[in-house]
Amino acid sequence: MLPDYLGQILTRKGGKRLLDAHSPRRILDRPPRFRDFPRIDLDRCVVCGACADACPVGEAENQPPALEMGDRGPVLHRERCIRCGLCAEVCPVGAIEVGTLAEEVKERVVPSKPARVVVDRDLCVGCGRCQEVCPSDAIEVDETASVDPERCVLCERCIQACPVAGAIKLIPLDVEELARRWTEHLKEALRRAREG
Amino acid sequence: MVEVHFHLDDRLTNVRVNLARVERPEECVACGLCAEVCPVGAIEVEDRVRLDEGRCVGCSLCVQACPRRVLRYYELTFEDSEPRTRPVQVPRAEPEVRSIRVDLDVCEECEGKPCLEACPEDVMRRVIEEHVIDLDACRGCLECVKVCPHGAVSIELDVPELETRDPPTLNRELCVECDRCHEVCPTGATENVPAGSPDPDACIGCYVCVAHCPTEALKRPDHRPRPRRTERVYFIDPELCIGCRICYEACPVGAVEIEEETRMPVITPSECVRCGLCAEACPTSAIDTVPTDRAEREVRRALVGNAFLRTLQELLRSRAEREFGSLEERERRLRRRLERKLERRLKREALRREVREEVEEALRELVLRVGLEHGEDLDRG
Amino acid sequence: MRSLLKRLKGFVRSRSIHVTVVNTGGCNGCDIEILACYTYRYDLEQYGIYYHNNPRKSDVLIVTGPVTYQWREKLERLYRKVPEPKAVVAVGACACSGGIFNQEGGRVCGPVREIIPVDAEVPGCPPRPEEIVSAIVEVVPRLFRAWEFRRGSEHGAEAGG
Repeated sequence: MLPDYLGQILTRKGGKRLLDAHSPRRILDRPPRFRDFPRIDLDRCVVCGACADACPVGEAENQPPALEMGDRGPVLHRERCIRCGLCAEVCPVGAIEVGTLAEEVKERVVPSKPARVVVDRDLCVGCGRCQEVCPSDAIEVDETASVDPERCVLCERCIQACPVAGAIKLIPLDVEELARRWTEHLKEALRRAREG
Repeated sequence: MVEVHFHLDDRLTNVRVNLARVERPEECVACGLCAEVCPVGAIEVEDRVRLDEGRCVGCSLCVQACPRRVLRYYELTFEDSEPRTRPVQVPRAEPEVRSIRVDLDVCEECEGKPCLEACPEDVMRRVIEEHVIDLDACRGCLECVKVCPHGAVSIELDVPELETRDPPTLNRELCVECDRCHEVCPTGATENVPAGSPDPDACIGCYVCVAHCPTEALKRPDHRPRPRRTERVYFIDPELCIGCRICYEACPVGAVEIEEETRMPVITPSECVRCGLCAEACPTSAIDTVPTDRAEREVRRALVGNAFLRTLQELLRSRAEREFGSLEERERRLRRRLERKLERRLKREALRREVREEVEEALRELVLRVGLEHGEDLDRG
Repeated sequence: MRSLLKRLKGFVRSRSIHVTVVNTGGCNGCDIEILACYTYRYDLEQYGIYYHNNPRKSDVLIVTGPVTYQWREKLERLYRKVPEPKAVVAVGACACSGGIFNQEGGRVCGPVREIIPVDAEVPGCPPRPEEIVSAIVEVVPRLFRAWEFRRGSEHGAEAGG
């Protein structure tokens, strides 16, 4: 029996097995789409506190909540965190990453808009008509109007309502297309003017 | 996906394109100054000026430089998307004469010598008859060159001092870095856009970049807000207006003006951006929209009426002065009398107040004393 | 000589560790992850750590769950049954801090470390198997290797008995 056992060890397979045990350990790669603990980018954080509000793990007598708001942003307590990813989903600026969930969350939380609505401060007279028609309360009127790009839904009602030409502009993401179209339009208008 | 609209017609409403045109080609004497100052080489001069309108950027330098007013300056606008051209005044540069050359051999054979007639400063006579060239007296109108039947006169002009308009202003919030301004700028003044405004030293003020900017990040320094739709405009009904001037305070662009004579507010239709703030603020609902042509007519009529009123007033005033002596003297006298009356009255008022205060003080003390004594009685009781 | 013996004892102990898993009222997620540690992918047994589930014969107590009131005394009793040398590994957010159950309205006895001494804590809800593996493999053998020496310093002459 003993010779058998020794024989087993002395074979290549047995030796390998002997050596494999307690071989230097390496942490296995995380599977894709694994939700790790949230990673908080304090540089991008706007300290709004939405993550701490969304966190399901609240404060207990002897324990802090999983996400606590500090002066510079949320502080994560790992032993409390349940890795649910709610904080990443509610973060308005995408400052919290939870594994590969981050990409999906970014898609959903900050969907890329094909254009942005910008108020031209040189032309705006501050009459507030845009604020009246805005369906998503994205416009604030102080001296001049200003548009919150996150709330804006690109309905263009403000542009229709604005009495001043060009005071509210829709600037598409595709700048090249805009420049091309405008150049063509201008050339066409000038040609018409010259003929007429 | 939200569909993106390109509001190009709105953008076109704000476009102002300048262009130079050869207005009086028969006046051209081919001095070549215009071609010399043109920054884009759109002008060629052989026996006459030839302007390539396709290449012209509308900087107005040639119009300023031309001593014969051959060229004229226009502004092209697209209000309601319809092109409209109107002439624009530009300051004419004073020509500086470098040299006057006259071929006297040819000149002697000339019979009529129309140049003597044409020259407004008597320079040609002195050249031909006294052989004195007075460069300072010559104003460089080139009339002599124009009328000389033999082409014997030639005058060389220096490039005069020209005025360039202020460079466009940049709104960095709107710049999308499309680099169109870099492409169209004839002098490369926009190289530092979007880092900063165009270089004022290099800019010649042609505003081509302003027209080509797709987002209006570049604007003329004198750009004013313009209405999108111009068919209707706000108008103050003079029947309902009470002259409170709340609209004057409310207007964000200063389109409401107070008339000199009537002291009543009037909206200038060309300035109004149709924001409606005045109509909201008006306490008597005197402001409403009317068709623009009607408003313009009404305002013009009011202006005429005011002019009439002013004339009438002055007439009456002079008449009255003739009848009753100087009105100012009378006014001063009246004011003095009134002041004296007021002074007397104030003195009387002050005395009365003094007495009243004394009496009140005495009464208060009395009441206090009575109250105290009464209170002590009560305590004892 | 005695020191060598101690080292030998420690070495042997660290190469053969028997564990008992206790769920003190959690959701079973951590238990499933511990189970995954014994599958082919992670194979905890290759490090000489065996799943035994008999407290009297184990060296390590793996505790999951937030410790409910019913479990409190039983956990203490269980801990006493494990013979020296012993170690406790708290696995999961519940065991580390009471987790989501330990907040306003929850009725749990709080983290495991307030009831019995804990040597290693693995946060996560649930932790990944490799996190559990690394906690057990990194911490526990080291604990046992040093056990004799630590006991020696604590108990003086009794050491090595």
